[in-house]
Amino acid sequence: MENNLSSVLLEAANLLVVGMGVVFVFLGILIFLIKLMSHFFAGEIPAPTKVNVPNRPAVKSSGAHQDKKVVAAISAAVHQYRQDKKQ
Amino acid sequence: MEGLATLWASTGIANFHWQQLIMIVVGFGLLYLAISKKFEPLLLLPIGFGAVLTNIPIAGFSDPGGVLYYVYKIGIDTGVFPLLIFMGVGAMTDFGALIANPKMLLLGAAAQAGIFATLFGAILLNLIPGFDFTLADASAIAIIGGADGPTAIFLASRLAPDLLGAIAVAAYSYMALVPIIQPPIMKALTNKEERKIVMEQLRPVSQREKIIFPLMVLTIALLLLPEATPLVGMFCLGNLMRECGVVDRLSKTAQNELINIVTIFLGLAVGSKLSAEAFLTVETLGILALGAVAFGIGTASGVLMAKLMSKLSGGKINPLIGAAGVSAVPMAARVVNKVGLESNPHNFLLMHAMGPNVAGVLGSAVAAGILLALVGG
Repeated sequence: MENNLSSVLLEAANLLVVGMGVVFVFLGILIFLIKLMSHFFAGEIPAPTKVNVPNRPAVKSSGAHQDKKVVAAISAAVHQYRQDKKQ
Repeated sequence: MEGLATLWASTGIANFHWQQLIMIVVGFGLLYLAISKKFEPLLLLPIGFGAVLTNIPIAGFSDPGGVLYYVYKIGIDTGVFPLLIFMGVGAMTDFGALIANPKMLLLGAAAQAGIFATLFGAILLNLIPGFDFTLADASAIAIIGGADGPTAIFLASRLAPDLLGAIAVAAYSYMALVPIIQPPIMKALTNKEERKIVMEQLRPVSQREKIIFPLMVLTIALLLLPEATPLVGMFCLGNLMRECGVVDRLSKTAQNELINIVTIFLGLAVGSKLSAEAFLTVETLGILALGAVAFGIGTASGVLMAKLMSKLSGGKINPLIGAAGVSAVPMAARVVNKVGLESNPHNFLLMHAMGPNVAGVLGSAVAAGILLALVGG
Protein backbone atom coordinates (compact mmCIF):
# COMPACT_ATOMS: atom_id res chain seq x y z
CA MET A 1 0.00 0.00 0.00
CA GLU A 2 2.76 2.40 1.04
CA ASN A 3 4.71 1.49 -2.03
CA ASN A 4 1.68 1.90 -4.21
CA LEU A 5 0.92 5.29 -2.67
CA SER A 6 4.39 6.62 -3.32
CA SER A 7 4.25 5.46 -6.90
CA VAL A 8 0.91 7.23 -7.39
CA LEU A 9 2.36 10.32 -5.72
CA LEU A 10 5.27 10.18 -8.10
CA GLU A 11 2.83 10.00 -10.97
CA ALA A 12 0.99 13.03 -9.57
CA ALA A 13 4.27 14.95 -9.33
CA ASN A 14 4.94 14.01 -12.91
CA LEU A 15 1.48 15.28 -13.89
CA LEU A 16 2.10 18.52 -12.00
CA VAL A 17 5.33 19.24 -13.87
CA VAL A 18 4.12 18.11 -17.28
CA GLY A 19 0.70 19.69 -16.81
CA MET A 20 1.89 23.11 -15.73
CA GLY A 21 4.61 22.93 -18.37
CA VAL A 22 2.16 22.25 -21.17
CA VAL A 23 -0.29 24.89 -19.92
CA PHE A 24 2.47 27.50 -19.90
CA VAL A 25 3.88 26.43 -23.27
CA PHE A 26 0.41 26.41 -24.82
CA LEU A 27 -0.57 29.82 -23.52
CA GLY A 28 2.95 31.14 -24.13
CA ILE A 29 2.71 30.24 -27.81
CA LEU A 30 -0.67 31.93 -27.82
CA ILE A 31 0.86 35.12 -26.41
CA PHE A 32 3.45 35.11 -29.14
CA LEU A 33 0.86 34.51 -31.85
CA ILE A 34 -1.52 37.18 -30.51
CA LYS A 35 1.32 39.70 -30.57
CA LEU A 36 2.22 38.66 -34.08
CA MET A 37 -1.40 38.94 -35.17
CA SER A 38 -1.88 42.31 -33.48
CA HIS A 39 1.19 43.54 -35.30
CA PHE A 40 -0.58 42.97 -38.60
CA PHE A 41 -4.21 43.59 -37.81
CA ALA A 42 -4.40 46.00 -34.87
CA GLY A 43 -4.30 49.04 -37.15
CA GLU A 44 -7.75 48.22 -38.44
CA ILE A 45 -9.57 49.95 -35.60
CA PRO A 46 -10.29 53.33 -37.18
CA ALA A 47 -11.94 51.62 -40.15
CA PRO A 48 -15.53 51.93 -38.94
CA THR A 49 -15.13 55.59 -37.91
CA LYS A 50 -13.48 56.38 -41.23
CA VAL A 51 -16.50 55.00 -43.00
CA ASN A 52 -18.73 57.16 -40.84
CA VAL A 53 -16.93 60.43 -41.38
CA PRO A 54 -17.59 60.86 -45.11
CA ASN A 55 -21.11 59.65 -44.52
CA ARG A 56 -21.91 62.47 -42.20
CA PRO A 57 -22.49 65.34 -44.67
CA ALA A 58 -24.76 63.14 -46.72
CA VAL A 59 -26.99 62.42 -43.74
CA LYS A 60 -26.93 66.00 -42.55
CA SER A 61 -30.33 66.81 -43.98
CA SER A 62 -31.91 64.37 -41.54
CA GLY A 63 -30.44 66.05 -38.48
CA ALA A 64 -33.31 65.21 -36.17
CA HIS A 65 -33.13 61.59 -37.23
CA GLN A 66 -29.45 61.42 -36.36
CA ASP A 67 -30.04 63.12 -33.03
CA LYS A 68 -32.46 60.38 -32.21
CA LYS A 69 -29.87 57.83 -33.13
CA VAL A 70 -27.31 59.48 -30.89
CA VAL A 71 -29.80 59.65 -28.01
CA ALA A 72 -30.64 55.99 -28.54
CA ALA A 73 -26.98 55.02 -28.55
CA ILE A 74 -26.22 56.99 -25.40
CA SER A 75 -29.21 55.66 -23.52
CA ALA A 76 -28.32 52.13 -24.56
CA ALA A 77 -24.80 52.68 -23.25
CA VAL A 78 -26.09 54.11 -19.98
CA HIS A 79 -28.50 51.21 -19.64
CA GLN A 80 -25.72 48.71 -20.26
CA TYR A 81 -23.48 50.45 -17.74
CA ARG A 82 -26.16 50.42 -15.08
CA GLN A 83 -26.95 46.79 -15.77
CA ASP A 84 -23.29 45.90 -15.39
CA LYS A 85 -23.02 47.83 -12.16
CA LYS A 86 -26.11 46.15 -10.77
CA GLN A 87 -24.75 42.62 -11.15
CA MET B 1 -58.71 -3.82 4.01
CA GLU B 2 -56.20 -5.60 1.84
CA GLY B 3 -56.54 -2.84 -0.76
CA LEU B 4 -55.67 -0.31 1.87
CA ALA B 5 -52.54 -2.27 2.77
CA THR B 6 -51.50 -2.42 -0.88
CA LEU B 7 -52.06 1.30 -1.20
CA TRP B 8 -49.96 1.91 1.91
CA ALA B 9 -47.20 -0.30 0.52
CA SER B 10 -47.06 1.90 -2.56
CA THR B 11 -46.77 5.23 -0.72
CA GLY B 12 -43.50 7.06 -0.44
CA ILE B 13 -43.66 7.00 3.33
CA ALA B 14 -43.66 3.21 3.53
CA ASN B 15 -40.75 2.87 1.15
CA PHE B 16 -38.34 5.54 2.34
CA HIS B 17 -34.84 4.69 3.38
CA TRP B 18 -33.44 7.25 5.74
CA GLN B 19 -30.59 7.95 3.31
CA GLN B 20 -33.06 8.96 0.65
CA LEU B 21 -34.73 11.28 3.10
CA ILE B 22 -31.38 12.91 3.84
CA MET B 23 -30.67 13.33 0.15
CA ILE B 24 -34.07 14.91 -0.42
CA VAL B 25 -33.23 17.33 2.38
CA VAL B 26 -29.88 17.98 0.65
CA GLY B 27 -31.84 18.66 -2.54
CA PHE B 28 -34.07 21.13 -0.72
CA GLY B 29 -30.93 22.65 0.77
CA LEU B 30 -29.55 23.25 -2.72
CA LEU B 31 -32.87 24.79 -3.75
CA TYR B 32 -32.64 27.07 -0.72
CA LEU B 33 -29.09 28.13 -1.64
CA ALA B 34 -30.19 28.78 -5.21
CA ILE B 35 -33.34 30.73 -4.43
CA SER B 36 -32.59 32.57 -1.20
CA LYS B 37 -28.82 32.95 -1.40
CA LYS B 38 -28.68 33.19 -5.22
CA PHE B 39 -25.79 30.69 -5.37
CA GLU B 40 -25.39 29.97 -9.10
CA PRO B 41 -29.19 29.63 -9.24
CA LEU B 42 -29.26 28.68 -12.93
CA LEU B 43 -27.55 25.43 -12.09
CA LEU B 44 -28.19 24.72 -8.45
CA LEU B 45 -31.94 24.98 -8.92
CA PRO B 46 -32.23 22.18 -11.49
CA ILE B 47 -29.50 20.22 -9.67
CA GLY B 48 -31.37 20.49 -6.37
CA PHE B 49 -34.64 19.50 -7.96
CA GLY B 50 -32.99 16.63 -9.76
CA ALA B 51 -31.60 15.47 -6.42
CA VAL B 52 -35.09 15.46 -4.93
CA LEU B 53 -36.58 13.60 -7.90
CA THR B 54 -33.91 10.95 -8.09
CA ASN B 55 -34.31 10.02 -4.42
CA ILE B 56 -38.04 9.46 -4.57
CA PRO B 57 -38.63 5.78 -3.85
CA ILE B 58 -40.49 3.56 -6.33
CA ALA B 59 -40.71 6.30 -9.00
CA GLY B 60 -37.31 5.22 -10.31
CA PHE B 61 -36.31 8.45 -12.04
CA SER B 62 -32.71 7.33 -12.37
CA ASP B 63 -33.30 3.63 -13.02
CA PRO B 64 -33.19 2.38 -16.60
CA GLY B 65 -36.46 3.59 -18.08
CA GLY B 66 -36.72 6.65 -15.86
CA VAL B 67 -36.58 10.10 -17.39
CA LEU B 68 -33.45 11.28 -15.56
CA TYR B 69 -31.70 8.05 -16.51
CA TYR B 70 -32.12 8.95 -20.17
CA VAL B 71 -31.26 12.61 -19.69
CA TYR B 72 -28.02 11.57 -18.03
CA LYS B 73 -27.29 8.87 -20.59
CA ILE B 74 -27.86 11.15 -23.57
CA GLY B 75 -26.36 14.33 -22.23
CA ILE B 76 -23.59 13.63 -19.78
CA ASP B 77 -22.51 10.07 -20.46
CA THR B 78 -21.80 11.17 -24.01
CA GLY B 79 -20.24 14.47 -22.94
CA VAL B 80 -22.63 16.40 -25.19
CA PHE B 81 -24.20 18.76 -22.63
CA PRO B 82 -21.05 20.25 -21.14
CA LEU B 83 -19.70 20.76 -24.64
CA LEU B 84 -22.86 22.57 -25.79
CA ILE B 85 -22.63 24.75 -22.70
CA PHE B 86 -19.03 25.47 -23.56
CA MET B 87 -20.09 26.59 -27.03
CA GLY B 88 -22.56 28.98 -25.43
CA VAL B 89 -19.91 30.27 -23.04
CA GLY B 90 -17.65 30.84 -26.04
CA ALA B 91 -20.43 32.84 -27.70
CA MET B 92 -20.75 34.95 -24.55
CA THR B 93 -17.04 35.59 -24.07
CA ASP B 94 -15.36 38.74 -25.30
CA PHE B 95 -11.64 38.15 -25.70
CA GLY B 96 -10.96 41.83 -26.39
CA ALA B 97 -9.32 42.48 -23.02
CA LEU B 98 -7.05 39.48 -23.49
CA ILE B 99 -6.06 40.30 -27.07
CA ALA B 100 -5.23 43.84 -25.98
CA ASN B 101 -2.93 42.53 -23.27
CA PRO B 102 -1.90 38.95 -24.15
CA LYS B 103 0.55 38.69 -21.23
CA MET B 104 -2.50 38.09 -19.07
CA LEU B 105 -2.49 34.53 -20.41
CA LEU B 106 0.38 33.84 -18.01
CA LEU B 107 -1.95 34.56 -15.11
CA GLY B 108 -4.55 32.21 -16.53
CA ALA B 109 -1.82 29.58 -16.74
CA ALA B 110 -0.43 30.16 -13.23
CA ALA B 111 -3.84 29.83 -11.62
CA GLN B 112 -4.11 26.28 -12.98
CA ALA B 113 -1.51 25.27 -10.38
CA GLY B 114 -4.48 24.80 -8.06
CA ILE B 115 -5.62 21.89 -10.22
CA PHE B 116 -2.36 20.03 -10.29
CA ALA B 117 -1.50 20.70 -6.66
CA THR B 118 -4.86 19.29 -5.59
CA LEU B 119 -3.95 15.99 -7.25
CA PHE B 120 -1.51 15.44 -4.39
CA GLY B 121 -4.12 16.27 -1.80
CA ALA B 122 -6.57 13.79 -3.29
CA ILE B 123 -3.99 11.03 -3.34
CA LEU B 124 -2.75 11.79 0.18
CA LEU B 125 -6.33 11.48 1.41
CA ASN B 126 -6.01 7.78 0.63
CA LEU B 127 -3.94 7.55 3.81
CA ILE B 128 -7.14 8.11 5.75
CA PRO B 129 -9.22 4.94 5.97
CA GLY B 130 -12.42 5.16 3.97
CA PHE B 131 -10.83 7.00 1.05
CA ASP B 132 -9.87 5.20 -2.09
CA PHE B 133 -9.20 7.66 -4.87
CA THR B 134 -7.50 6.41 -8.02
CA LEU B 135 -5.40 8.80 -10.07
CA ALA B 136 -8.37 9.21 -12.42
CA ASP B 137 -10.64 10.09 -9.48
CA ALA B 138 -8.03 12.50 -8.16
CA SER B 139 -7.76 14.22 -11.55
CA ALA B 140 -11.52 14.64 -11.82
CA ILE B 141 -11.64 16.12 -8.32
CA ALA B 142 -8.67 18.38 -8.93
CA ILE B 143 -10.33 20.01 -11.95
CA ILE B 144 -12.69 21.72 -9.49
CA GLY B 145 -9.74 24.09 -9.08
CA GLY B 146 -10.27 25.14 -12.69
CA ALA B 147 -13.41 26.90 -11.42
CA ASP B 148 -15.22 26.03 -14.58
CA GLY B 149 -18.45 24.04 -14.30
CA PRO B 150 -18.74 22.52 -17.78
CA THR B 151 -15.05 21.57 -17.82
CA ALA B 152 -15.39 19.88 -14.43
CA ILE B 153 -18.50 17.96 -15.53
CA PHE B 154 -16.91 16.97 -18.82
CA LEU B 155 -13.76 15.66 -17.19
CA ALA B 156 -15.64 13.91 -14.39
CA SER B 157 -17.93 12.19 -16.90
CA ARG B 158 -14.82 10.84 -18.65
CA LEU B 159 -12.64 9.96 -15.67
CA ALA B 160 -14.85 9.37 -12.63
CA PRO B 161 -18.58 9.17 -13.43
CA ASP B 162 -19.33 7.86 -9.93
CA LEU B 163 -18.08 11.05 -8.34
CA LEU B 164 -19.72 13.35 -10.86
CA GLY B 165 -22.55 14.51 -8.64
CA ALA B 166 -20.31 15.55 -5.79
CA ILE B 167 -17.74 17.13 -8.11
CA ALA B 168 -20.34 19.20 -9.96
CA VAL B 169 -21.99 20.36 -6.75
CA ALA B 170 -18.59 21.28 -5.27
CA ALA B 171 -17.55 23.11 -8.45
CA TYR B 172 -20.70 25.21 -8.66
CA SER B 173 -20.89 25.86 -4.93
CA TYR B 174 -17.33 27.14 -4.80
CA MET B 175 -17.86 29.26 -7.89
CA ALA B 176 -20.70 30.89 -5.97
CA LEU B 177 -18.41 31.26 -2.96
CA VAL B 178 -15.65 33.01 -4.92
CA PRO B 179 -16.50 36.38 -3.27
CA ILE B 180 -15.91 34.77 0.12
CA ILE B 181 -12.96 32.48 -0.63
CA GLN B 182 -10.81 34.82 -2.70
CA PRO B 183 -10.56 38.23 -0.95
CA PRO B 184 -8.75 37.02 2.20
CA ILE B 185 -6.15 35.21 0.07
CA MET B 186 -5.76 38.22 -2.22
CA LYS B 187 -5.31 40.58 0.70
CA ALA B 188 -2.88 38.29 2.51
CA LEU B 189 -0.56 38.12 -0.48
CA THR B 190 -0.53 41.80 -1.47
CA ASN B 191 0.17 45.01 0.37
CA LYS B 192 -1.89 48.17 0.26
CA GLU B 193 0.42 49.94 -2.16
CA GLU B 194 0.22 47.08 -4.65
CA ARG B 195 -3.54 46.97 -4.46
CA LYS B 196 -3.66 50.66 -5.35
CA ILE B 197 -1.78 50.28 -8.62
CA VAL B 198 -3.73 51.84 -11.47
CA MET B 199 -3.35 50.09 -14.79
CA GLU B 200 -3.08 51.64 -18.23
CA GLN B 201 -6.20 51.84 -20.33
CA LEU B 202 -6.43 48.89 -22.74
CA ARG B 203 -6.20 49.57 -26.44
CA PRO B 204 -9.25 48.87 -28.57
CA VAL B 205 -9.11 45.61 -30.49
CA SER B 206 -10.11 45.25 -34.12
CA GLN B 207 -12.77 42.86 -35.32
CA ARG B 208 -10.22 41.03 -37.46
CA GLU B 209 -8.13 40.25 -34.42
CA LYS B 210 -11.20 38.94 -32.65
CA ILE B 211 -12.09 36.73 -35.60
CA ILE B 212 -8.60 35.34 -35.98
CA PHE B 213 -8.20 34.66 -32.26
CA PRO B 214 -10.51 31.62 -31.89
CA LEU B 215 -9.11 30.11 -35.08
CA MET B 216 -5.63 30.54 -33.72
CA VAL B 217 -6.49 28.93 -30.39
CA LEU B 218 -8.08 25.99 -32.21
CA THR B 219 -5.04 25.57 -34.43
CA ILE B 220 -2.65 25.42 -31.50
CA ALA B 221 -4.94 22.99 -29.70
CA LEU B 222 -5.26 20.63 -32.63
CA LEU B 223 -1.53 20.64 -33.16
CA LEU B 224 -0.38 20.32 -29.55
CA LEU B 225 -3.20 18.84 -27.52
CA PRO B 226 -5.94 17.10 -29.55
CA GLU B 227 -7.43 15.76 -26.29
CA ALA B 228 -8.41 19.32 -25.42
CA THR B 229 -10.11 19.99 -28.74
CA PRO B 230 -13.62 18.86 -27.73
CA LEU B 231 -13.67 21.62 -25.11
CA VAL B 232 -11.51 24.16 -26.90
CA GLY B 233 -13.13 23.45 -30.26
CA MET B 234 -16.69 24.01 -29.10
CA PHE B 235 -15.59 27.09 -27.21
CA CYS B 236 -13.89 28.53 -30.28
CA LEU B 237 -16.90 27.72 -32.45
CA GLY B 238 -19.12 29.74 -30.13
CA ASN B 239 -16.64 32.59 -30.03
CA LEU B 240 -16.20 32.66 -33.80
CA MET B 241 -19.99 32.81 -34.26
CA ARG B 242 -20.02 35.77 -31.90
CA GLU B 243 -17.21 37.73 -33.48
CA CYS B 244 -17.52 37.03 -37.19
CA GLY B 245 -20.66 39.14 -37.45
CA VAL B 246 -22.37 37.13 -40.18
CA VAL B 247 -24.22 34.55 -38.08
CA ASP B 248 -25.74 36.72 -35.36
CA ARG B 249 -28.78 34.46 -35.23
CA LEU B 250 -26.68 31.40 -34.43
CA SER B 251 -24.61 33.33 -31.93
CA LYS B 252 -27.72 34.58 -30.15
CA THR B 253 -29.18 31.09 -30.04
CA ALA B 254 -25.96 29.64 -28.66
CA GLN B 255 -25.73 32.21 -25.88
CA ASN B 256 -29.43 32.28 -25.00
CA GLU B 257 -31.95 29.62 -25.95
CA LEU B 258 -29.57 26.75 -26.53
CA ILE B 259 -27.46 27.26 -23.43
CA ASN B 260 -30.62 27.73 -21.34
CA ILE B 261 -32.22 24.53 -22.60
CA VAL B 262 -29.04 22.56 -22.07
CA THR B 263 -28.57 24.09 -18.63
CA ILE B 264 -31.95 22.76 -17.48
CA PHE B 265 -31.12 19.24 -18.58
CA LEU B 266 -27.52 19.40 -17.44
CA GLY B 267 -28.65 20.45 -13.98
CA LEU B 268 -31.26 17.69 -13.80
CA ALA B 269 -28.78 15.11 -14.99
CA VAL B 270 -26.19 16.19 -12.43
CA GLY B 271 -28.90 16.12 -9.77
CA SER B 272 -29.76 12.57 -10.77
CA LYS B 273 -26.23 11.61 -9.72
CA LEU B 274 -26.95 12.80 -6.18
CA SER B 275 -28.38 9.47 -5.12
CA ALA B 276 -27.98 8.43 -1.51
CA GLU B 277 -25.52 5.62 -2.20
CA ALA B 278 -23.27 7.84 -4.34
CA PHE B 279 -23.37 11.00 -2.25
CA LEU B 280 -23.58 9.95 1.38
CA THR B 281 -19.98 8.82 1.67
CA VAL B 282 -16.88 10.23 3.31
CA GLU B 283 -15.50 10.69 -0.18
CA THR B 284 -18.00 13.51 -0.73
CA LEU B 285 -16.63 15.34 2.29
CA GLY B 286 -13.14 14.82 0.91
CA ILE B 287 -14.20 16.21 -2.48
CA LEU B 288 -15.74 19.29 -0.87
CA ALA B 289 -12.58 19.91 1.18
CA LEU B 290 -10.26 19.36 -1.79
CA GLY B 291 -12.34 21.69 -3.94
CA ALA B 292 -11.83 24.53 -1.48
CA VAL B 293 -8.09 23.79 -1.34
CA ALA B 294 -7.91 23.80 -5.13
CA PHE B 295 -9.63 27.18 -5.32
CA GLY B 296 -7.36 28.61 -2.66
CA ILE B 297 -4.14 27.41 -4.29
CA GLY B 298 -5.31 28.56 -7.72
CA THR B 299 -6.08 32.04 -6.40
CA ALA B 300 -2.80 32.24 -4.54
CA SER B 301 -0.66 31.13 -7.46
CA GLY B 302 -2.46 33.57 -9.77
CA VAL B 303 -1.83 36.46 -7.38
CA LEU B 304 1.81 35.46 -6.86
CA MET B 305 2.36 35.28 -10.62
CA ALA B 306 0.78 38.71 -11.01
CA LYS B 307 3.02 40.01 -8.25
CA LEU B 308 6.05 38.72 -10.10
CA MET B 309 4.86 40.30 -13.35
CA SER B 310 4.17 43.51 -11.48
CA LYS B 311 7.75 43.60 -10.17
CA LEU B 312 9.19 42.81 -13.59
CA SER B 313 7.09 45.44 -15.33
CA GLY B 314 8.10 48.10 -12.82
CA GLY B 315 4.76 48.31 -11.05
CA LYS B 316 2.43 48.55 -14.02
CA ILE B 317 0.35 45.51 -13.13
CA ASN B 318 -1.95 45.33 -10.15
CA PRO B 319 -1.31 41.93 -8.55
CA LEU B 320 -4.95 41.57 -7.60
CA ILE B 321 -5.88 40.70 -11.18
CA GLY B 322 -4.00 37.41 -10.82
CA ALA B 323 -6.86 36.10 -8.71
CA ALA B 324 -9.12 36.29 -11.77
CA GLY B 325 -6.94 33.68 -13.46
CA VAL B 326 -8.99 30.89 -11.91
CA SER B 327 -11.76 31.51 -14.51
CA ALA B 328 -15.17 31.53 -12.72
CA VAL B 329 -16.19 34.15 -15.32
CA PRO B 330 -17.20 36.84 -14.54
CA MET B 331 -17.48 36.45 -10.79
CA ALA B 332 -13.73 36.35 -10.14
CA ALA B 333 -13.16 39.52 -12.19
CA ARG B 334 -15.88 41.31 -10.24
CA VAL B 335 -14.29 40.26 -6.97
CA VAL B 336 -10.96 41.69 -8.18
CA ASN B 337 -12.70 44.93 -9.08
CA LYS B 338 -14.34 45.11 -5.67
CA VAL B 339 -11.16 44.43 -3.70
CA GLY B 340 -9.33 46.97 -5.86
CA LEU B 341 -11.98 49.62 -5.19
CA GLU B 342 -11.61 49.07 -1.44
CA SER B 343 -7.98 50.22 -1.67
CA ASN B 344 -8.47 52.91 -4.26
CA PRO B 345 -12.04 54.05 -4.91
CA HIS B 346 -11.13 55.39 -8.35
CA ASN B 347 -9.41 52.30 -9.62
CA PHE B 348 -11.67 50.15 -11.79
CA LEU B 349 -9.88 46.88 -12.46
CA LEU B 350 -12.82 45.06 -14.05
CA MET B 351 -11.65 45.24 -17.67
CA HIS B 352 -8.08 44.41 -16.67
CA ALA B 353 -9.29 41.41 -14.69
CA MET B 354 -11.37 40.14 -17.62
CA GLY B 355 -8.12 39.30 -19.48
CA PRO B 356 -6.82 36.78 -16.92
CA ASN B 357 -10.40 35.68 -16.32
CA VAL B 358 -11.01 34.48 -19.88
CA ALA B 359 -7.41 33.25 -20.02
CA GLY B 360 -8.33 31.05 -17.06
CA VAL B 361 -11.12 29.44 -19.09
CA LEU B 362 -8.64 28.51 -21.79
CA GLY B 363 -6.12 27.43 -19.16
CA SER B 364 -8.52 25.06 -17.44
CA ALA B 365 -9.66 23.61 -20.77
CA VAL B 366 -6.03 22.95 -21.63
CA ALA B 367 -5.41 21.46 -18.18
CA ALA B 368 -8.45 19.21 -18.65
CA GLY B 369 -7.04 18.12 -21.99
CA ILE B 370 -3.73 17.24 -20.37
CA LEU B 371 -5.41 15.23 -17.62
CA LEU B 372 -7.50 13.39 -20.22
CA ALA B 373 -4.46 12.65 -22.33
CA LEU B 374 -2.26 11.47 -19.47
CA VAL B 375 -4.73 9.85 -17.06
CA GLY B 376 -7.69 8.93 -19.23
CA GLY B 377 -5.80 6.88 -21.81
